[in-house]
Amino acid sequence: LFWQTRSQDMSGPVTEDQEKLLDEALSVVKLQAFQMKRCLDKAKLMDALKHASNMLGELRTSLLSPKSYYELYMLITDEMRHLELYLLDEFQKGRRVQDLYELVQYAGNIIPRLYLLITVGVVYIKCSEISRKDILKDLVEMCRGVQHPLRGLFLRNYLLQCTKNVLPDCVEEEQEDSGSVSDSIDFVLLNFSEMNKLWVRMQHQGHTRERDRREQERRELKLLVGTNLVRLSQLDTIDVQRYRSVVLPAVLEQVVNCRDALSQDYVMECIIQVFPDEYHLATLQDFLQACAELNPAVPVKNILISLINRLSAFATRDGSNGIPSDIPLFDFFSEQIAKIIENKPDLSPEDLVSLQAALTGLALGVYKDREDYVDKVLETTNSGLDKLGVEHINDHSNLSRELMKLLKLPIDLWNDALVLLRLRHYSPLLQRLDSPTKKSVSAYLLQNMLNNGTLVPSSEQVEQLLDLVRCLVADPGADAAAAAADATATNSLGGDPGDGSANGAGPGSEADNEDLAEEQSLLGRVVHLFSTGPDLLDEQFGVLKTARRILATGGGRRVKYTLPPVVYQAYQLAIRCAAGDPLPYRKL
Amino acid sequence: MSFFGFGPSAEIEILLDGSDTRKAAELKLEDGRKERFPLYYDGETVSGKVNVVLKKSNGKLEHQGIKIEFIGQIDLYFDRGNRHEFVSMVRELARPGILTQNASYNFEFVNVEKPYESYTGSNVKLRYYLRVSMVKRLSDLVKEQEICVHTLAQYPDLNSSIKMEVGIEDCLHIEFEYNKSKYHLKDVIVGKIYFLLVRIKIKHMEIQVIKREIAGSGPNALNENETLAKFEIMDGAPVRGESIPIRLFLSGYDLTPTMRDINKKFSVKYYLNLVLVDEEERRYFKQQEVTLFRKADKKRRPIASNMIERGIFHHRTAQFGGPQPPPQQPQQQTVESPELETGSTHVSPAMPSKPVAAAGQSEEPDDDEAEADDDEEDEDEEPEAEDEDNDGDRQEDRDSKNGQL
Repeated sequence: LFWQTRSQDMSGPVTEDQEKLLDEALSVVKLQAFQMKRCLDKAKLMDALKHASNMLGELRTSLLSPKSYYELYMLITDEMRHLELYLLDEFQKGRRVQDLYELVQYAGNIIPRLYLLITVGVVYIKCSEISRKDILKDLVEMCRGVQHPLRGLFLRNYLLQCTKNVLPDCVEEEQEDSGSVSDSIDFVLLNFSEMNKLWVRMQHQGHTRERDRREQERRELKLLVGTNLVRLSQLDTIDVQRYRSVVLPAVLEQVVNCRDALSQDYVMECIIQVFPDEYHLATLQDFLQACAELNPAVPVKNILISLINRLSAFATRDGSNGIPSDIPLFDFFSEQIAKIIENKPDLSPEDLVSLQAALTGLALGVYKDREDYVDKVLETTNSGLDKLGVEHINDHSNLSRELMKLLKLPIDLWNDALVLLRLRHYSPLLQRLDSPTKKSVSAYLLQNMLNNGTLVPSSEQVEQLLDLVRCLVADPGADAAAAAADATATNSLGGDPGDGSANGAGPGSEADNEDLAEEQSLLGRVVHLFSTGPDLLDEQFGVLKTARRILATGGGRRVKYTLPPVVYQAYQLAIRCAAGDPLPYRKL
Repeated sequence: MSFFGFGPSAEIEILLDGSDTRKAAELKLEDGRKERFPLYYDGETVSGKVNVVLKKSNGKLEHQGIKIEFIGQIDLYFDRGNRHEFVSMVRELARPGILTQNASYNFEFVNVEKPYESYTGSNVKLRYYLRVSMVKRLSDLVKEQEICVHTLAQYPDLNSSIKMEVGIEDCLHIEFEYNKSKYHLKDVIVGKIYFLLVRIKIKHMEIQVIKREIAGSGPNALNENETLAKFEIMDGAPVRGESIPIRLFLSGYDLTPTMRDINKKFSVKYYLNLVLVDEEERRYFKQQEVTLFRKADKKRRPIASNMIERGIFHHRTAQFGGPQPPPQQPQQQTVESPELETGSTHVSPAMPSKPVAAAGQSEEPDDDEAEADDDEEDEDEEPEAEDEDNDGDRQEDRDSKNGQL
């Protein structure tokens, strides 16, 4: 009884019955669709319209969840295609039904009426019956009659889909009242803002306790809203000027004014993905300004990171002209990020770091020779972490992960460790990490040097490098613990609760020794990169002395790996000296 | 008629001139069936031929005279004894005599007046017909031929829009607008509802077209309301600031022109009833009388201009209605309704007597179609009564438990 009445009960759908309700609705649809097609075969249009109307009546329901409603909608709109094709055929053969546009408006219920109106309207447009402009405007306006969020969203989606190929896409009207791209823009923008309104309205329907479910349902429907933006991006006649002066301002206004976090988050992201990068470059300020005005619950950092990454990719793509020199991209984003950090006292450290990582990526991608940019970012990161009171960074935390990602970026993108040594803020940031991660990054750096054959040509730089990777060079804490472990066989040591306890690999254990061996041989191999220029033998000696001094601090467990390469290098040096250099050399 | 097994001695046939070219129109018969009859207008001559066909060959038919009448009459169903003939004309076809063979008589009612439109209603019927009577000794032989009459009206010179702000304090304020106050039968009602304040959860909104037939007069008058149309204009709950378009095609419904005090016997009036239903099935309504009239059919125009002219494209009707009424036409009144659920009748204080010839109020010379419109109030800011024409402060039947805006 409850489900048979056509009353529009606003109580939410009961999940167990969804399947049953949907099945019932689908079978009505199938039956009516069959009847409709039969009538069309017999050219009985009025009867066919009646069946179509009955079929569309199923979309009046309030009992289906969005997912179920979507399924119903898909089936029905598929069937409506038959009707559209029939009408197109009839019209093109000159057998047009008088006043069909009017006739379908006799339907007493608004949902079937509007779906039919859209279908017929599009046929009229395709057959150039009447002013395309008038019909499009009429259709998008008449849809106002459906204020129910779910039903309204799908109705307007139907409008968008049906008009996909008939939106005017020319600068000037080709014939009177055929419309120009301005009309299409107006049409889509109006549809978009009405849909966004309805979508936001869903947030406030129903009980607060069902908020999570509602938000989930809203997410399921986001594509309906986003399709409007896609449609705009498909209008070829929209150039960057029009985008900047007409399209984007309208979209941003709607987004900012709706004040709804879910909508803002999605739409801003959508804008980035849907429109070309050149457009974003041309409208950065407006876009970033809007970002600053968003609901505080919106994770703006994600939006920014998306944008930054996209623009980095754009700038570094083959064949791209890069970023126009009059756009101080780095400064824009730097400022913007600073603003966000300032305005969001609850910004988490990992969010902070991921923002900075994106910015780093931008700097490295677009401004490869601006070491100062990267250093600046690192400095900001450091002080940011200080401000947040971050002291100890737990090894398996998100923060650790984000920071590691950040630190690896310059390694990967420069492939030149020597540059890193020039950055004043790299090492401090690296040293914040916990031991295992720190070592991992350091090893990563060393491996990079080996892969690229990066030579370290001065004593000073050797010292800097070894200082940078000091966690690998010496670890008195670990050594002591290993000794203690041998003595007392305990597992724990400072700061690494998860370290190796799975395979019983505490300091001094077999696994630990393996790790150590690996690290140190890496370090040892890097020693072979300590090489000044061909004639700078004295320098080379200095380099080796420095290396030996520092590496020796590694203690017994390490020098067995690291000193032999030094010795070997020394021999090489001696040979070179003997070969031709008259200068005496000091004995090692 | 068939005393002693004698069947009818003759058959009378009435044939109207030009019946092959004349248009026909549908009339509802009393049993509800519809049939088509030749359509005549006021002032048109009704002419034709009466054939008398003798049933028995070699028969003789003696009669005391054959005549034909053209009658326009009003029947009130509850007062069957009385037929009110407002038009009655007679022509003698044949003097008393004997018919030995079939006979044929021409008749002509020249430019006969047909002041009212044919109408079959719930409690009253107005019809026009020809009646041929052959007077005989025992009983008369009678044959009737119904015709249909339509009354046409010109498009009114002044046809102001109806615009009003109504509501319930702190609950719901809307401004509704209909583009005209007078519509022809194939017209389109174009308008909008603008929501100024929404504090209730609305489920949907519809416009109903209600026909009210008032048969008889005074204390015995019978009111009959019929909802001829229910047209949903909004699905779902709007918020403040929403504007909902109205486009209602009257050609989809079975309507007659507005009839006012026809021969002082009956009236047929039409109302637009705007109904909002909330989630608890409470109904809020606002009724508004509109005048319907019948316009002469025009020949078909090209689709595009036809649609635009008919206001099908909402946005093109930038200015509703015809020439704007003189400034003193008050258009905004806030109506406060009493408690909505209790369905208390909105008691109207005594309506100020209508200024009959107040500047600009009366529009048309013709009385039938339009008098000073009930819709246009004067500036006195009296709370608007639901029932403007003082024929009984009658509440909606089914909506009696509901609230009037």
